[in-house]
Formats: sequence, structure tokens, C-alpha cells
Amino acid sequence: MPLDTSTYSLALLRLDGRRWNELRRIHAQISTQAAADGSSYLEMGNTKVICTVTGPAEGRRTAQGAGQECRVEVEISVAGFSGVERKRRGRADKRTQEMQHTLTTAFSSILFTHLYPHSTIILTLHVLSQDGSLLAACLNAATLALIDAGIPMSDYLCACTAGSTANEDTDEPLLDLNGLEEQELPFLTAGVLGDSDKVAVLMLETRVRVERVEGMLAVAVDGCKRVRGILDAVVRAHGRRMVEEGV
Amino acid sequence: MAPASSTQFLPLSPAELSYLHSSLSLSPPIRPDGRTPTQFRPLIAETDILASANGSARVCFADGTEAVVGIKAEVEKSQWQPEHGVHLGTGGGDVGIPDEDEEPENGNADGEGKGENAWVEMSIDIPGFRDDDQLPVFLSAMLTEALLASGKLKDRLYINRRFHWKLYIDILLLSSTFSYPLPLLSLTTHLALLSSRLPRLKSELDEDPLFDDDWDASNFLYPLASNTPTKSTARADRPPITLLVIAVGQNIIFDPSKRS
Repeated sequence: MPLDTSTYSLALLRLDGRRWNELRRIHAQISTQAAADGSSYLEMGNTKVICTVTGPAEGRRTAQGAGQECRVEVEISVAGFSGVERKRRGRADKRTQEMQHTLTTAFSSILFTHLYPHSTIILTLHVLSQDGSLLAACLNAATLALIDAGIPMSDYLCACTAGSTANEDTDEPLLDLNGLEEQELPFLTAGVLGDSDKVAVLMLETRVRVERVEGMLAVAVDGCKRVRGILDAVVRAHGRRMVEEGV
Repeated sequence: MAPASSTQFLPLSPAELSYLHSSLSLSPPIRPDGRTPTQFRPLIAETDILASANGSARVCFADGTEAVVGIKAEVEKSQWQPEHGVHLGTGGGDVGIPDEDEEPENGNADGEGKGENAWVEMSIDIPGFRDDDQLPVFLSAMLTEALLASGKLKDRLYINRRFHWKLYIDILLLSSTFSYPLPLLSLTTHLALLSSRLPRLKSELDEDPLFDDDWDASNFLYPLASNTPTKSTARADRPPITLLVIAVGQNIIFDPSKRS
């Protein structure tokens, strides 16, 4: 479905009425599930993800001898009802596997894995509804769930997408694309470590002119910091509630 | 009957087992969590949580087991079936033209007895199990059977002679299985079906279906029981719930928690 992005240059408003640097509504909860070691629920616009953490626990394949560091395993399941059309993605789906791999490598480097030798941390993500920025939502949800599980990590890993309008003359970056924009525009997903400028995850799958990447990345990093503020507020609010209720 | 894999957790020592068994066989029975025999576990439930599905529900038991069900309906072309063998002689070419004598039958638009079992498809996703493992397949077969038993649901999916709704029921179990998950899944499916809505049909009879895009005007898949009908008809229209009931000695107990 081709999307008419030409109207953007007229009012500088996007399809859903946002300006170029506005995030969608982010709503997050942690400790949503009592049975899991850590759990979270995250909405970025209409993208909804549930994440549960199991572990650190003795791994299923200890014989492999991962050695002195713990392994991070990620399972992502995309529900059949999550998109506009019902489509069942199997576990062997290439895109899902790539996202799993991205999360595994990102969190292996951020978590203090040397503290848990011979053990495994399993992250299970369920995508309930998808409308753009899926990888970013998965990364944010996983960060929250890991914090809820109390697994030490160097800092928040916050992710966000940025795209670029395709017009020749007005080459403007856009922050936090929704599903329709993602189909039409080149975009990248960046994950940034806390308040620093350290980029831990960078994923660019569409073709884009190389001059534009720098602008997109700058906007994405800026967006990640705002996401961090929101996630931090969620964690603090939860901590305050825990102290007050003595749970 | 239940697959063996669902009963293997929580090993109990012989002493614990005999204690449990004797306390449950008392009259009145004493359950380890202090419930009365017919009391259900406390739970949290919400419906209509997803905008992208026709109906959805989430149920969370106090012990942390949680399930989400999404229901999606899609229009699908029905396979052409000659009715009463009338069309066989005419070569079956004029599919779109209804015969005069069949007109009143289509007019009631209820699709009485025209539904097919294949119009409802269910899939269950349990972490740690493959899709073709014994437990998910067994559970989905059991739930589908209960759903189709009344025969009314599949008739409501009938649009006209050429099209029908295909109902996809996707069940996600979000937590690992502590107790036998059937009641949880059944309850969640029940709620999701109650909350699911189909857009109102604007076209008539055998035209290509055209739907009202006003979601407020949509019909519930299970019509809401108004206050006029008697209790029995209102109840007959509801989706089924499967409960787990166990028998210990002389006592019948609802919804066992961790004792299988």
C-alpha cells in the first residue's frame, strides 16, 4: 500500500499528527506477572510487547560448557493476531530469528554475565500487537524485565527508530516511525546505553543515501534518551510503590 | 487421558501425598489453600485489550499463570457446495444466480446448519513446547470440540452462500505451566469470544460482502443477552467453559490447583 508522504512538507505534520521529533505514547508496567523472575509490559503507540525473564538459572545445556559467563537466550513469539492480517510466524521465521540474535548479542554485552557462571538467562517476548518499531519495543521491554528481575547491568538499553523523508529537497529525519511510515520510508533502529552516547545496537535494513544516516542516527540517539527518561520514571514509580506497600 | 507431560511437575513425597489425600477426603474436605470445594482460584481478567484483534482477553491467576487470547476473523470464500443436488444437472455454471425456491431459505440469513467445523481454527502457544507437541494439540482439540459442540457458533459465521467468516483463535500461555492449563485457557477463550465483534454486514444476500466501517455499529459474535429472553435462552448462547473437576474419595472438588 503506497503511502502518500508528499503532504508532509506542507504542514510538517505526519500521518498520525505528530511533528518530526515527537515520540508516540509509551506506556510501560513492570512486575506484571507474579510467577516469572522478572516481567514487563510495554506499549509504544500500538506496538504491544510482553516480556518475561527466567533466570539466572542452571542452563538446559550445561554440557556445552559456556564457561565462566552466563548465556542469554531470547525467544520471541509474534502472535498470529498481532498484525492487520492474521499471519502466523513460525519459530524458524528469519526476521524473528534475527531479532532474537540482535537481542542476545546486545544484552550479553550489557549484562554483567561474569557474575553468573554456568547459568542461563532466558528472555521470552510475546508480541501482542505490532505497529512499527518492533525491535525497539522488544529491546525496551527486555530492559525493563531485566531490571525487574534484578539482574545487574551496566545501564538501561533504550531503543528507538528514526526514518528519513524521501523528498529530495527537504531531507528531514523523523523520530519513532509507526507501521505505515515504516513500510514507506528508510529507517534505522538504534539502541543507546543510558544517558551516554554509546550506541549498543544499530540496525538499518532499508536502502538509504549515506549522507542521511548521520542525521537519522542523531535523531534516534536523542529519542533514545527521551525513552530512557520514560523507562526510568516507570522503574522509579514501581520502586516507590514497592517501598510504600512493603511488597 | 491427559498427556503425561502435564503431570510430571511438583513431586510430592509419599507422606505429603497421604496427608493431602486424607485431608481432601474428609467431609467437608480441607484444601491446602483454604478454599471451599466449589470455590475457584482468585483471578484477574480483562477483555478488549488489543485494537488489532476482533476480540481479546487476558486472564491472570493469583499464582502467576497468565494467558492472552486474541480472536481474529477474516472473510473467506466458501467452497461451492451444490445444495440438495439441484444444481448438479444444470452444469453448476451459474453460481451467482440464486434459484427462486431457495430465496426464502437465504432470506433468514441465519445460516442455520450451514456452518462447518473448519471455519474455526485454534492454535495454542505454550513456551517450551513445540507446536506439534502432544499437550498443545490435545488442548486445542479439546477446546475446539467444546466450542463447536452446540453448533450455533459456526452457523453465526455464515455470511452468504459464497463467503463466510473464518475465525482464528490464538491462545498464548505466557507463563510456564504450574497447574494443568486447561481451565485457564478455556476461561480466557470464553472471555475473548464474549468480547469479540464482527463488523455489520451492509450488502445483501449473495453479493460480495461489504461491511460497515463504523466499529460502534458492529455486532457481537455472541449477541448480548437482553433482558427480555428467559434465562435458559440467554445461557444457551454463551461460549463454553471447561472446568477441571477432581474426585478424591467421596468428594468432588472444583478447580484443583497444584494437585494432579
